[in-house]
This record gives sequence, C-alpha cells and structure tokens, in this order.
Amino acid sequence: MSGPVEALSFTEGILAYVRFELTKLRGRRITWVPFLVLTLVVGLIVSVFHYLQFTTVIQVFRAFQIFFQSKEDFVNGYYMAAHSMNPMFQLLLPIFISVASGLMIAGEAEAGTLRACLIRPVPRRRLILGKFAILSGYSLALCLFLLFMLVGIGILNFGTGDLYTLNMAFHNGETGVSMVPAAELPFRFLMAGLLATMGMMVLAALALLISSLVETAAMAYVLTLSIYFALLTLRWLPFLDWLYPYLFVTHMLRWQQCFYEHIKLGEIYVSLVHLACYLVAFLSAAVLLFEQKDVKS
Amino acid sequence: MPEPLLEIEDLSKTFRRRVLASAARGGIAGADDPFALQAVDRINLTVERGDVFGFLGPNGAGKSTTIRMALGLIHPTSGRVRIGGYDLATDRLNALRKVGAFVEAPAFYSYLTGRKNLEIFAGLSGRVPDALVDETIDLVGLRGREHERVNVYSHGMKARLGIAACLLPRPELMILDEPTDGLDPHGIREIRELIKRLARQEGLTVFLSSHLLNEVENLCNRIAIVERGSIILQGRLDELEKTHRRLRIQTDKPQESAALLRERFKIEARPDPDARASLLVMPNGHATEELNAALSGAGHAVRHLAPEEAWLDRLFLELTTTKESSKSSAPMAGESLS
Ligand SMILES: Nc1ncnc2c1ncn2[C@@H]1O[C@H](COP(=O)(O)OP(=O)(O)OP(=O)(O)O)[C@@H](O)[C@H]1O
Ligand SMILES: [Mg+2]
Repeated sequence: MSGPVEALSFTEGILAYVRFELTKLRGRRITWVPFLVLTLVVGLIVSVFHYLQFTTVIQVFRAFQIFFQSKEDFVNGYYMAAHSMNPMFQLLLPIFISVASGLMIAGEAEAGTLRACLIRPVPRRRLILGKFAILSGYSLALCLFLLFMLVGIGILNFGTGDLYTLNMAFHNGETGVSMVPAAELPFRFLMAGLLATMGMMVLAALALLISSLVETAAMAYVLTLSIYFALLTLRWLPFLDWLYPYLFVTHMLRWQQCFYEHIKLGEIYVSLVHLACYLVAFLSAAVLLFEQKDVKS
Repeated sequence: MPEPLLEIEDLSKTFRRRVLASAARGGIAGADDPFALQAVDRINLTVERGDVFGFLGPNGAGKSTTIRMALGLIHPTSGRVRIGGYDLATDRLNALRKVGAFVEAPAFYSYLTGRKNLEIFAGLSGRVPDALVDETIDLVGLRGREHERVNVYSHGMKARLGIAACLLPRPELMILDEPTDGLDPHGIREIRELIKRLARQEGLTVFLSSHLLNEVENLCNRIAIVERGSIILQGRLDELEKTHRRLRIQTDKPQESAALLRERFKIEARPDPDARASLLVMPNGHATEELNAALSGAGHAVRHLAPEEAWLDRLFLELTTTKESSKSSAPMAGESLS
C-alpha cells in the first residue's frame, strides 16, 4: 500500500467539494421533484387561463379607462406568466428551497454522513459555503426553469403581446395600470427571475443557519417555513407597518417592480442592499455556529 | 523507538443534560436543570505507531464520546488531543490528514453507489487516483458490488465499505468505533481478519472501541478499559495477561493442593465458582510446568491445569458494573450548552 494521498490545493479543494455536493444533489431523487411539480402546475395554470373569461378583469380595466373587448385583447403568454409568478415565488419555491437546505445539513446529520464528512481534513467553513453555493445554483435553476416554462408555454398557448397589469396586483400601494411593450418583456422577466433568485438565496442562507442548529431535516424546514410565512403575514398587521421595510421577505418580493411601466431602480437597489446584508448576516451566523457546533448525531 | 500517533491528555466532556428530556422523564423540571452529565472524565492514553489498541467499556461508558473528541466532532470541555504530533484544537486539518475513521457506525449516501461514496469521502481527504479506489475495493472484498447503490447493501457489506472509506486516504491511524457491531459471526470474523491483516501486513496503527472481549483479545496488543468516563485499567495485553490471567487447576485433593501452593509458592488458591473441585490461582510468574511438577511430586493427581479461558471477560465483568450509568455533577461555570 502506498503512502498517504496527496493533499489538494486550496482552489482544487473548493472545486472538488462543490463537485461532490453537486453529485449528491443530482443523485437525490427529491432534487428533481420541484421541476416536475412546477411543470405540472404550469400545465394547470394554462388550462385555468383557457377556461377563465376574465369578464371582471375587463371591467376593472375599464375603470382605469382601458377598454378591452375580450380576453384575447390582453391575455397573452406574458400576461399569464406575470400573473402566476406571485404564488409560485411566494409559496412554492420557498418550500422547495427550504426542503433542499434542510436536507443538506440537518438531513445529513440525521443520516450520519455529516459526521463522516467532518472527520475528513476539510475546513468546516468550506462545507457550509460549498453547500450554500450549490443551493444558490439550485435556486437560480429553479427560478429560471419556472420563468422559462411560464413564459414559453404561455406564449405557445396564448401568443405574445404587450403586458397590461393592474398595479395593485403587485403590492406597491399604487393604483392604476402599467403597460410594458412586448419588446421589453423578455428582459423584464429575466430581471425578475434574477431578483427572485437573490431573494431565494437569502432564504437558503436562513435555512442553512437553521439547518445547522437543529437535529432533523423535518425540523429544519418546518422552522424555516414557519419563520418565512410568519414574516410574510406580518404585512397584514397595520400596526407593524413601520417594521415592514426592514424585513427580508419584503425585499424578496421586489421582483414585482419589474412589471411596472417605469421601473423604480432606486427601490430595486435598496432591496438588493437589504438582501445582500441579510445574506451576509445569515451566512456568517451559519458559518460561526457550524464551526463551534458539537456534532453529536 | 516508540512513536506516539494518538495522544489523549486529561480529556473531559460534560454534557448539559437536556432540559426538556429530563422534565419529560419526570426528573428535575424547569429551565435551570442543575445537573450536568460527565460523559468523559480526565482520560489519558497514548497509541503508539504499530499498536492495535482496544478501547473497552460497557454501554454508555464514554467510548464514542472520546472518539468524537479525538476526531474533532465535539469540543472537549478540557484536555487535549494530538494526532501525529498535531494538536487537534489548533491544527485540525493536519491532524485529520493522518486518520481514517468512523464513529458509531459508518454512514453513506444510500442513493449513491458504493464506489461513488468512496470517491466522495476519499476526495475530501485528498487526490485519490482511480487505481487506489479499485485496489481498496479489492482489499475489502467488494469487487463486483461496487456499482450498486448502498441502500441495497447488507450490513456486512456496509461494514466493509466503511473500512474501505477509512483506508482510502491511506491513513497512518485508523479509528474504528465498534467495527463489528451488528454483524453475524461470519461478518465479525471477516472484519476482524481484515483489521488484523491491515495491522500486520500494512503496518497500520488501529484504535478500536468494542465491548466484544474476545475480539479485543484476538486483535489488540494494548487495551484500556473505560467505565463511567474514566479509564480503570490500561496496559499491554501480554503484561495484563501475566498479572491477571489465572490458572485453573483440578486435582483429586483440592484443599491439600491449595495448602501446598500457598506454602511452596506463596500463591493464594481460591475455589472456582464455575467448576466443582477446581481451583483458580494467580501463578505470579511461576511456570505451569513448575506448579504441575510440584503437585504431582506431592502425590496429587492433576486432572486439569490450564490458563483460564475468557480471562478478559472475567476481568471486564469484575471491573465494570453492569448497568448503564454516568456521573452527575453540579454544572461548572462557563460550561458549553449542549
Ligand atoms: N449528545 C449527548 N448529550 C447528552 N449526553 C450524551 C450525549 N452523547 C452521549 N451522552 C452520554 O454520554 C455517555 C457516554 O456515551 P457514549 O456514546 O460515549 O458511550 P459509549 O461508550 O460509546 O456506549 P456504547 O457502547 O453504547 O456505544 C452516556 O451516558 C450518554 O448518555
Ligand atoms: Mg458508542
């Protein structure tokens, strides 16, 4: 038998680690479930949009002096995509991201593979940052896949055209109607996707923090989702209005800005700064806790 | 020249007993549970290069906790661990580079193949050529099954895969926590032979915990017995055998034989509780032949004269209490939360 194996250089170590996390992510069946679910949900949305007549919506638009004769005048692929994004990005994706993050640390602790990794000569920090990198990639993949499906299948079914939206559908406290010309829309959707991904990365960092605190994967994602939904509900409490601009969930929804007629870049910057701060805070806390942690599983 | 590979100095660990769990047990309820659990209490031991060191103890004695600390999984309350001269607290990566190990039981990604698992874990230790993975698969006898998912592996195959994973970084020291736990007699023998071969032929140093006494007797050259977090006996197995292994003697006149042994050799013979008309004596350095000649010369018919079997079992049972128990003590200031 030969001597000890050669140690990897710093960069090689990081690359190798990320590659291994990727292998694990790919190998787990549950990784692929969200893609399947999203595909099915998009199919469902398409049939709902085929079925609905949008008479009420036409009346609401009329109140804003925009006169559509029938749904064909404004319901197109972009319209369907933009109006489906809210529930998808607020509900479904956070669940998928929380589950994936919960499995990554608490789930591995449960399975015993976490301790098997930690007795190898790898800095603990690299483990958690590697997992975060993979989760970020996974979030991006999910967000872009979802948008691609929504827009793509939407256009196949309902064609293209300008996007008319009621501002109040996108929570900025304004009324009125936004119209974004068709030529601008692919860029708008891409921007929305990237902003949403940034939000998901913050959630992933929070989930990793919780995942390194608790003992089971189920506990990790139940806790993460409870915190997320609790914060999301706070906006319905009028006496907490002052708090709302500081919550990360507020800024996770900022992608909605991308469908206003005139994008307020200032607000988007503010949100990006908030998200970045939350991200750094959650991730540093996760790293610090994980480095101190007694691994007893 | 003995070269220490694993040095454990004054190692202690106090767990803060779970507040909720103790409340649920009907114990001391409330947020200020005044009890802490001392799982490991000032353990000292040194494993030298070439040793096969058996770390023995009843359930809950603190074996796994000690091993977890020796691998940097949990932080000691006090004391320190050095591996190959590197302090685990300050030089964790260099220390761990010398080790292949598992704690409790080897764990794998059940949805990946055995080989993929080996590649993943070995890759965390360094650059592992494919040939080395193949060689190791052959060594542990998993050839032909390495491309199956681990979730179809039997317990014995997982144990072998566990050892393969330990071997892949080509360590100087293997730390194994109950490597034959849960295996059938064939599996136990196989793993035991494998460890023996690795130690003899490859010169690997092994530190293994176990509560299977014959396993340890069979494999190890040095042992430590730990109970309630403290080492109560430690030494070279051959020396312990000299001082603790008794002879079983059966003659036609047990009482006279006992008197003769006391007079002539100053050794105390006691009746054997397990066998009628048998005596148990500590030979105190006297050779079996010598005692035999003396007894026969005095006209005692010696029917049986042999070293006692399962002496380590007996010693272990004498030294350790049977029920799982641990020391409780008032919490210390600044103790870590568990
Ligand atoms: N995470 C923990 N929190 C609190 N107490 C613990 C923890 N882990 C272990 N203990 C306690 O520490 C003591 C030693 O446990 P340990 O697992 O080290 O024993 P062991 O010698 O490996 O036993 P076994 O032979 O059953 O594996 C036990 O009393 C156990 O209950
Ligand atoms: Mg144990």
